[in-house]
Amino acid sequence: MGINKTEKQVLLDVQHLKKYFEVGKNQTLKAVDDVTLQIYKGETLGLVGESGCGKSTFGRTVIHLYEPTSGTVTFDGMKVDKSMSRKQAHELTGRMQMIFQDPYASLNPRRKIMDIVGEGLDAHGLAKKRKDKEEQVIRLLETVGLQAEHADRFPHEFSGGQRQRVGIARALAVNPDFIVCDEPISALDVSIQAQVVNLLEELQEKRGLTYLFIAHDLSMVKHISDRIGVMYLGYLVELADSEELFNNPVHPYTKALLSAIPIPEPEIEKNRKRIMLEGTLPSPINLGNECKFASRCPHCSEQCKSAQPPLKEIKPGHFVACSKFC
Amino acid sequence: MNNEMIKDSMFVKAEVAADEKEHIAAPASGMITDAWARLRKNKAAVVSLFILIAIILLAILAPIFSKYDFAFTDYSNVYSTPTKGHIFGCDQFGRDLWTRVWMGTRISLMIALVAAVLDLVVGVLYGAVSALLGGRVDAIMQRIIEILVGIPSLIIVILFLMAFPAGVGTIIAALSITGWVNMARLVRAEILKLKNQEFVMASHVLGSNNLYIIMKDLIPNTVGIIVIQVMFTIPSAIFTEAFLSFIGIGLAEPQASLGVLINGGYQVLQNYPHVLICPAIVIVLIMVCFSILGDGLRDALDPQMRK
Repeated sequence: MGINKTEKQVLLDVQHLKKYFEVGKNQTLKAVDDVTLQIYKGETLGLVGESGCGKSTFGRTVIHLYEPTSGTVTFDGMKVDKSMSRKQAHELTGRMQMIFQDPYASLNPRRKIMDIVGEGLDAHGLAKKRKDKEEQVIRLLETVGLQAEHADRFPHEFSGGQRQRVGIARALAVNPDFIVCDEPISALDVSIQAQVVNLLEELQEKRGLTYLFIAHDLSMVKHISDRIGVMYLGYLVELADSEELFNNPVHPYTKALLSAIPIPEPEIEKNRKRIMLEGTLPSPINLGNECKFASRCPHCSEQCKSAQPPLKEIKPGHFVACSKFC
Repeated sequence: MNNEMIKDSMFVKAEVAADEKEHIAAPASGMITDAWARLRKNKAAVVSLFILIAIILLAILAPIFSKYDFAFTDYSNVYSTPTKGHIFGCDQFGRDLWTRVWMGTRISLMIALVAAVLDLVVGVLYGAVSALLGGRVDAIMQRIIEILVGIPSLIIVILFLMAFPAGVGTIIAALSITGWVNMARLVRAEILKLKNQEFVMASHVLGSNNLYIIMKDLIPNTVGIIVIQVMFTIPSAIFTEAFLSFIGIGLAEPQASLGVLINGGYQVLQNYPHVLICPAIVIVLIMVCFSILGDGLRDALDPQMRK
């Protein structure tokens, strides 16, 4: 972590990415609406927001599980969309990987760990012989703290944390540059969360990985991320270095979100003032033109109801989308 | 009081070797070993399994080793009660019932098995294609199924048998016309559920092709419900065939099926009950055993039941 600013090199460039789902007649769910951001080589970009704000959809669109409605995703100079040839798309799967949220749903219950972890090796022809594959899988299992004897077992025999590590080994098998971590720790116990996060950090250091870390646990995101983006209803409302975001949040939604973190110190915790937002998250279906946060914003004015403010750079590296505060 | 006796020095941190921590003590187990272990605990299902195996063996072997042909008539033995030579007795033409019952079982089982296999192939393909293609194709395929379900299947089957000459092939075709619908619906539902699962997404992300995903991710995970559905299709096919033969539009004499035999016995029930009872016991055993075994397999294969 903590990369030198001068050698920042954009690995993933996302421009005005939109992903809409048709949910019925004339009903459009804008899961991701006009998100622009860059991810630099070797860094961890945290993406936070409440359930249903489009974090996971963003991750899945970036990795081309979904076709974007509009906008572009460029990975290391290559445009990621359906215009890619089959060969290019296949090559891409060797460079971009994903770690999934639910360790119980992300491993095929009918296959042995050997085959699950080895699937990437098969798909990319990375192991010529059976024995070669076995050796590589065992090495991968040892990398994530599991053992050779686990290769012959089925996923149901493992605990949640062990399964998540199998999922990490599977992603590492093809030796990727970039990994989308889609809430990799939210289904785990706190003690196991630390284990998995430490493993991810260690792997990043050793292999120079770049992460897009999607989560809703703010303190964990602060710990692992170099920069953090905050999403609300499919829109990126604030993006800054993680220290900057935690110390000087600007967007009223970020402020409310940060005020909800409990402080592990009873004296301070007693005086912590939570900014309670009015109302509930509006339905993301058929939203109008106004600022996405207008319906719940304590500072909402007429101007906010007329247009969605764009993401503006208020300090170097600190972007905010709010017409009141920048 | 006792607190004073407990000192910190009494506690020593246990040394756990790094490879001990992740050790799994239970022996490795797979889907089939697990399912078999669970099935074995279910006594009724195991008994049913053995009875079914015995019935299938008898259906295959008994007619071969019998002294009598199933169509051989012997007028000196009309309606003879069970004796040493004729274990189940004889029917109205003096034909050996032992041979005829097992011959009938053989034909009934064969009809049921072929019908079940046809249901399996058509249903799985139809359901899988419908679920995987989705969109408009799926909508049209589902409307076709709804139309088929809307017409009572018994009417289709009876009309079909009236239109075509009676015989084993016609009955199988009649049973299969509507039988695959349930299988198609089940498989479609299961694949729709599976195809959005994270492990299928993971395969896409890893660059596996669609055939690999269908063969390794989707089909192995639907095998459980397919097996169970087949186990329930077989007895219902046997029952439908018996019913059709009983009302006289199924197989014709001298062909024997369990339905034909029951029909023959029912006419002389008051005077010669054994002619009805023997085939009736066999059909009841088949139906009950398949149902119990099907239930047992459902419990054994359903991961929800895993403790």
